[in-house]
Parts: sequence; structure tokens; C-alpha cells
Amino acid sequence: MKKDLMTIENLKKYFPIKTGLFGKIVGYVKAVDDVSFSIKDGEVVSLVGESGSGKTTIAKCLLLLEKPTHGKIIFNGYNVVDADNKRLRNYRRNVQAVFQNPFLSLDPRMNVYDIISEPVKTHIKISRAELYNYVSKILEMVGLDESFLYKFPHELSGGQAQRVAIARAISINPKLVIFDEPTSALDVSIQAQILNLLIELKDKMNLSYLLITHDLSIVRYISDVIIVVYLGKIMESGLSEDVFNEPLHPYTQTLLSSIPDPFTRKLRERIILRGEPPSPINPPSGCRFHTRCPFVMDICREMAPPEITHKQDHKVFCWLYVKK
Amino acid sequence: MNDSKVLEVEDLTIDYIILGGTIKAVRNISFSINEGEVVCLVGESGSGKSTIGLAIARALPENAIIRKGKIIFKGRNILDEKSKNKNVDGIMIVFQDPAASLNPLFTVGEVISDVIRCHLAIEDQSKIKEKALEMFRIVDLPDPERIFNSYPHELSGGMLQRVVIAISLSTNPKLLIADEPTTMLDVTLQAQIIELLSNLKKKLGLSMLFITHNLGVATEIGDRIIVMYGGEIVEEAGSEELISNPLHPYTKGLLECIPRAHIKYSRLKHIPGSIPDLRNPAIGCIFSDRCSWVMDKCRIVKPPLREYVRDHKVACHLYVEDE
Repeated sequence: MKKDLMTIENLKKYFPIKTGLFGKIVGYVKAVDDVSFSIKDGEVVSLVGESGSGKTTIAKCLLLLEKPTHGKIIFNGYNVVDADNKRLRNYRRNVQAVFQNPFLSLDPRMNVYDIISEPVKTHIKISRAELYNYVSKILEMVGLDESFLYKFPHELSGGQAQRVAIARAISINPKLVIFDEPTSALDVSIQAQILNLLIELKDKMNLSYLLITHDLSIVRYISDVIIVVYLGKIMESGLSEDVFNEPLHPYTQTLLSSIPDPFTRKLRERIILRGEPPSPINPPSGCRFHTRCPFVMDICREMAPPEITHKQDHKVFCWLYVKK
Repeated sequence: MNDSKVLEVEDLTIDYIILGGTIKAVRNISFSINEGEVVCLVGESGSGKSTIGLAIARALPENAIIRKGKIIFKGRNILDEKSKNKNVDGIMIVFQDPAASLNPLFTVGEVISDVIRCHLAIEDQSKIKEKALEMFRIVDLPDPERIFNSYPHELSGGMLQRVVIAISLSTNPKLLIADEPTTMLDVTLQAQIIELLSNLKKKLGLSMLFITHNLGVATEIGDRIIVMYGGEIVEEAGSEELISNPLHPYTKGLLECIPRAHIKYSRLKHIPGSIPDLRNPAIGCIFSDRCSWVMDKCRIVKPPLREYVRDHKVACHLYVEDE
């Protein structure tokens, strides 16, 4: 049994909606509403959801870019949310991030060498002479040679820039890397290169990943655990094999059947959802998905469904699976 | 001329003038679209697919120059027409980002009314509104009356894309160009829009040029798929045929590197290298730098697009018998 690297307990993030001169709070956007999960050592966990599901907000909370309204983020035995500076420094060293658009996350005025060496200088004691070798070694690990060292981000292609962003994230030997839509801005042929690189690095450096994406087709390939979120709540979670082979929640089933797949278009029965995702300002009562669910029952409108354990590690929040 | 053809593109070549050079974005492209047919242009970024769409809609940016070629629509070469009003009656285009294609200062109703007034020459306000509401119903928008009075920011992405499609269809176009219309949408909404467009095609007998980077989407909606790479067509076939029997190494590679949700991979294949620099496109085959079957000939001679089996064209030396 692998041990938990990070545990998220009852995480909530509400954004206040303010109006008028005095910023009177008239309501909250419940971006993340009571989410709990854990990431084990060496594991790839994927958070899957559509826009507005709160998946990026979860990542921002974990990266301490947003302060959670409620809940705990437990790492190495301490709660990160109210940790002191020394622990935060240790936390930041161990948790790094790669974002969707590398051209926005790389400083256009820094060259590749500066970009990668900056976190190294901050977190690792290393002499100036060794630094050069260190940086070129990291660069080599992401598949770029030394000729890239003094290039600026605008001289790189999308795939190369994303490799630099990955190099920066892994340069200080973190334990966990959070990827927010790492391949959404890339073409498919480049996407495959980056996904293969991620798997290589994970095995080589014993990393854990939290992958945030809306693209279910890349999830199967890379992740061990899948968590499906909708309007700030977890709908289903489980080992990726289990979720793909036997999706339980109607929302997961819909998501899986909505993926356009060039090879099986005639074989699949598609479930096409009616309507649009509701607003997280006034989320639907009961089960958040009931407004679009094809199997909606009366109880779904009234009460939020409990967590049902289908089999070990495969959990679903849905009234369909509650035994009477 | 063949009557069943809605659009014919012949030898189209387009350059972009940029600081310090020209980008040869589209080179010697020829294809046609039949009545009631959906043709998909598939390619990665920089393949020139959107440039072709813009050229047909006559909406190219100012730094684009059409070097040569013809675009024949309704029997006329629309590139010849020097009229100030560049809009070609009968061709409409839908873009990727619906929020960017609608003016935020006007209600959706005002926008569609304007279009109907100009194109259908209806003056009566109530008739215009009637037509607008009818269009909203055709694209399955719920509560058309409310939508008519809404501003773009009050509607969600999926609804806006429906509104934009309704606006385009209100002029009864012969040809709809859809430039990545589902790329900005979530998968569940993407499935909705694709279903809508396929229904509209059946209901209205619409011909469509559907531009996408997603082969999955292309096979779902397209009757025929044209695969582009670096500004050239590399392969063209019926969508079933293209998927089951891809010929060009690029198409093969592209199909192999799509991760599929229904299969567990141990390792994903990828195409090494990156897309070509179109300031100086290769003299030979445009894909030769990244091709694993590359021969000496590929670097010198450009392979022509030829029919290899019936209705399946490919531009590759592997399929040319030695003379």
C-alpha cells in the first residue's frame, strides 16, 4: 500500500459577489464545494471536468494562489493552509506547477537558462559553476539540447516552450507536480510527445502528478486515479481502469460517450446531454447534476446524494446506487 | 461545369506578408464541395486550413495576398469580383469564439434583425422578429423570446454558438463555413453542436466546409475529409475510408497519436519534430523532415496529389509507381 502524499479534506472555495460602492456581498460563487481526496506517492491523479467545474480553482488552492474558504490541505503531516513560512518554503519546493499556456507562464524577458536556474538558486545550495551543468542536465531530461539554453520564449515553438515549463517545474526535485491542462494548447502530434515525456519523467524521478484536464482521452493514457468533478463537487472517483470500464455516474457516462473518437463513431451509443451547465452562483438543489441528468428521480432534486462505495476505491455520489 | 458542385477551389495560393518576409500559408490547393456534402479540412495549427476558410468567405486579413487560383461559387469566380461589398451572398462563416463574433453592445435580437433586414430585404419589424424566432427554434434554442432580448454576455458559450449559427442560417446560405466551431466548447456541448449541425445538414440540405484540428470531430460530421499539412493537401478521402485505410504517413501518424479514451496504452506513438517553417517551405515533400519512410526523392520532388484508389487521393511518393 502506497502512503498518502497529500490529503485534501473538505476543501471549499467561495468567491464573494460584490456590488455597489461599498462592496456589499450579495452572494457567493461556490467554485469548490466540499471536495476531499488524496494523492498517493508516485501516483497520477486526474481531475476531470468541464469549464466551471472548479477543477482549476482546486489547483489554485493547492498551489496557495487562492486561500481556501474552508478545509485542510495536509502535506507531510502538517496543514498547509495555516502553516508557517518555513513549512511553506518546504511545501513550495515539493509542489510545483505547469500551466496550460507556456507563453504566458514563462517570463518573455528571461532566457531558458534563467528560467530554469531561478528555482534552483532559491531552493538548492549549488555553486555557480555547477549550476550550468545542472541546468543543462535538466534541459536534457525534457528532451532539449544545450543550444536552447540562451533562447528566449518567443524563439520556441509551443511544444518546446511547454518542455521548458516542465523543466522549470522538475528542476528542484519536487514530489508533486500539478499540471493544469498541460496539452490543451498543443497540437495532437506534439501532445503525444509531451504526454510520453511526462510518463518518462515520472518513472525516472518518482514524481506524483495531479493532472487537471477536460480531455478524457488523455486521462486514460496517463492516470492511475480519476476524479470527475461537476459544479464544484465530486461526482465519481476511482482507479482509472474501473471508471473507464464501468462508469457509474450518469455524468461520467455522458462525458465518456461525448468524446469524438475517429475509429468507433458507429459503434458507440451516444448520450447527448440537454441544456447547459447551470451557474455555480445558484447551484441546483439536491444533486448538482439533476437538471441535466437523464435518469433524474424526485429525491435527486431534494437531497444531495451520499457517497456510495461501489468497490474498493471506486466511489460515486448518486442516488441510483443507493440500496433501498 | 458540374451542376452538383457548390464550390470549387482551384490552385489556390495565399501568402501573408509579415515583418521580414512572406509566409507561404497555402500553396496550390484544389478541392470541391458537392451539394449537401460536409467536407472537413483537418490539420494542425499552421496548416493553412483557416486561411482557406477565410479566403472563401472573402474575409482574409489585409496582409494576405492571393497569389493565384480560383474560387468558383455558383459558376462565378468570386475572387474576380472587385465590388466594394465583399460579402458573397450564399456563403456564411461561423468562427471559433462565438462571444468574439457578436457585438457586446447589441442584443442578440438586434444583430439577427439587422442581418435579416439586409439580406432578405424584409422591412416589416414584426416579420423580421418572426423570422428571427423561427431561426432560433431551428437551432433548438430554448425560450427564443428571451434569447431575442438578451445581450451576448447573458448567454453561455453553447447558446452563443447556436445563436451565431442561427444568424448565419437566416440568410439561407448555400454554403456554411464552420471554422473550429466546437473547439472552445466543453465535450458535452461539443456533442450537442455536432448533432445540431448534422441535423441541419439533413433538414436544410446544407453544404458545409467544416474546419477542425480534431479528427474525431471530423469523422463524426464529415462525409469527406481533406488532411492538410504545412499549407498543402496531403490526403483526401471519404471519412470512413480515410480512417480505416489511411495512406499518407502524416495521416497515419496523426491517427496513431490520438490518445483514445477506450483503450489503455502502454506508450503513445508520436510524430517526432515540429511543424515546418512556412517562410521557406521544403522544395520536396512538405512532410519529408518528419516522415519515417522518407526517401531521397522526397526531398527533391514534390509528390503530386493523385487518386490512388477510387475517391482516395494522396500526395506521397510511396504510392507512385516508378516510371
